[in-house]
Amino acid sequence: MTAPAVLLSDQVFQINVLLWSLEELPDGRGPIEPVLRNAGYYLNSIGRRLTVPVAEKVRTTLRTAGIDDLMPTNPDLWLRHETDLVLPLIELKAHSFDPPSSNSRQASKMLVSSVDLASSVGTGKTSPGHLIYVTPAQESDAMLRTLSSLSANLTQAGATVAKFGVVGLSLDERGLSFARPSGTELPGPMAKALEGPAVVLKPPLEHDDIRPLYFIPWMPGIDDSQDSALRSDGLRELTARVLAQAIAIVGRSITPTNVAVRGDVLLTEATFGIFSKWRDNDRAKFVEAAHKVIVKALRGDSRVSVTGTLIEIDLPSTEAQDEVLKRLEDADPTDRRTNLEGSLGPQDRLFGDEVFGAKD
Amino acid sequence: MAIDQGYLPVLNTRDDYVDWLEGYSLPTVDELRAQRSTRKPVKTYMLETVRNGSARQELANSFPSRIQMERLDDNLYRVHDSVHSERVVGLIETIDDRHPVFFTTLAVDESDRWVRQVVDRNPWLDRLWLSSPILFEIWQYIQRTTPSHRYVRLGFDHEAWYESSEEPDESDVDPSFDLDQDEDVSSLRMEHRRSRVHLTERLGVLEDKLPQLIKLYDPLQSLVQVQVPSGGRGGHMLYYDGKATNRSESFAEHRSTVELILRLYRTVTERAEEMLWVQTSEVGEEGFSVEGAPVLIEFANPLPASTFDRFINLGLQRKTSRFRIGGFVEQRGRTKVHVTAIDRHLWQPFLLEVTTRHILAVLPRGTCGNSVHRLVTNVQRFLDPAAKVWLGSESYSAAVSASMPAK
Repeated sequence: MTAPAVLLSDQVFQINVLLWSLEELPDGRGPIEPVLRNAGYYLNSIGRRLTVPVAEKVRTTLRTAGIDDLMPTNPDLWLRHETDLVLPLIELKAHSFDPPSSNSRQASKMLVSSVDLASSVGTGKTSPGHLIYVTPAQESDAMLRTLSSLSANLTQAGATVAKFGVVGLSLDERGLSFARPSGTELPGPMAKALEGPAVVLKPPLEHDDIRPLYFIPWMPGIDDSQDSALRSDGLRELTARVLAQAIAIVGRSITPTNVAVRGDVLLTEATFGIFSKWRDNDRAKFVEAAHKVIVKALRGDSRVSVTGTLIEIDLPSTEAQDEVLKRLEDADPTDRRTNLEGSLGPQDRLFGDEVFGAKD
Repeated sequence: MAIDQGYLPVLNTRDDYVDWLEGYSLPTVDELRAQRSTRKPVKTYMLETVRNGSARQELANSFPSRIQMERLDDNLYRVHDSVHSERVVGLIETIDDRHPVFFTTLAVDESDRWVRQVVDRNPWLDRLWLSSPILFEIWQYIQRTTPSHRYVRLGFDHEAWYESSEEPDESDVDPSFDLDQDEDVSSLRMEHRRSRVHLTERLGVLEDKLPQLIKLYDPLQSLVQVQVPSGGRGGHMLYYDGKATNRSESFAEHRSTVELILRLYRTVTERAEEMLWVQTSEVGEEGFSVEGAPVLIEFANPLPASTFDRFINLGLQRKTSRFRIGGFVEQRGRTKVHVTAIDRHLWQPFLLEVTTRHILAVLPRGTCGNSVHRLVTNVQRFLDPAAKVWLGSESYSAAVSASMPAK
């Protein structure tokens, strides 16, 4: 079982916990308490662009603070509330960071850009944001100190900064909770919901893993910071989902017929459509890896022909269909020789670093 | 007296068939003399057409090539089957565009076999799955609309199939269910709880006693048969697997009853799909949102670890499983698994978390809501008759109740 500290700092775990906390679920039932949904919050977007305002004062202040890069940032989650007009922007971090780090430049841009989100959301109306960093609970005090320091520097340089806060993730016998470090400021409904530690994942039975089902089993751009076992886990899960999509295509065909399978289609379907929306610096490599997973599962089958990125499977009869299904169902997502991880190779990465922001 | 095979005559209009079926249940002079009827009651099989993506198939293309469908009007087809020497095995009517129904007068063994052959290996067709909450809603309808002196027939069935202490070397194939038949052979060798209860009683008595009986004995929460009383004699027997038998004197009333069930079923299914489908949509520049809620099935009491093991090994990993779910199981501890699951009938992938306390399902956009009803039905029949179900934050029973037409 993964050590709690490793799990809490895993951004794939973090984003999935946040997504579950925003789900529609029955109150007090099941393994998950959607504490943010119960407080009136819902998901606006993942990875949406946050632009640095064009106002001269903002930009000159950033330059004064040593930040010349005015490229947009991409907070991990944008939330909305049923009644409160403040939009919480959530940034997930494995660890806190010090003011001189590269993450600080990103945080400074977010602090000045979140004051009014009107330019980012394209409305003429003022739209206040509230920047919230989510870290493991033991990192949250340090994270708050860093944000306070950055905010003070920007204010001293003449900038107006957004409200900000920190939410800590803690894991104990009560389960996985959102905790609010003392002195942090959160939007009203969220502050109320997190007055005490708010349990999101109830404790599993002894020796069971607390991890929930993952909407997103793998994230781009975090390979360097993610625990290698968790990375393998995510790629295994994604392999299973890719295979399941191939099984679906073959299983629902009515013989005699030919079916076509493509890596990009499998990945898009396997991620609820997310794959097609992520940035694609290494996208082709990942598509190729998904393609290889299917080719390896069906290796030696004379009914399968491969032309470029297209896998064509001839299904002249239900018997042939059953044989292909059996081979796909017998594939082992944990086998590194045939799964996505093995097909990608140790250095291969799918996506760029920018969608979820640079990660520590 | 000649044995009626149950094939329909070749007629050419809806009116001809309705007239023929309307008179079908009335005994002939020979039958009256012999004091027994050789006629098979009209059986109706309510079906689901599956989209598997965006568009449904043309109805005729959803059936295997042995079936020829002769269109009689916009919604009614005469069904010939080459396996039956091209004779008319029944009629198919698209009472609504999603749910065709198959009317037949074949003997029940023959018609059940026909549906198994045509539907159960067909990823574009499924049966309707009238889960216990749906049948209990029909029972509520009966109580609201039927005089209390009328007789009503209810059937309950729960078999704790995964409770057995036997090694999991048995087949997990679902025996065709018929309360009037003896138990299947394998069940005689297995020791586990099994409850099959028939109640034929005056409505007023059942209204009074049934809630107490259910409290005392939880298998009675697994309702699998309800007979909706007819306006005249007899009624319309509804089964959990979407079959309905006309035991009334009127085919027209039988068809209307089926239509009522379809309206309820379609409303609750589409309500579930709208709420549950997990999908992404683009938001702003570079952003996207994930929408959709899970299905939660909470067991009334935690499953024993041995039952959990049998369910995972037999129910979710055997290709012949009565749950018809396959896929890739990832163990997340002693009593928790994550499954990249495949509905092995409709071939639709989804995600499952199963523990001794609950099942949580995440359904991608396009998953047929029928799969939810099938899962609920099977959980109540084979795992826990008292399990509670939620679609997102809404109770499944409440969603069913809110979907009852003209309530």
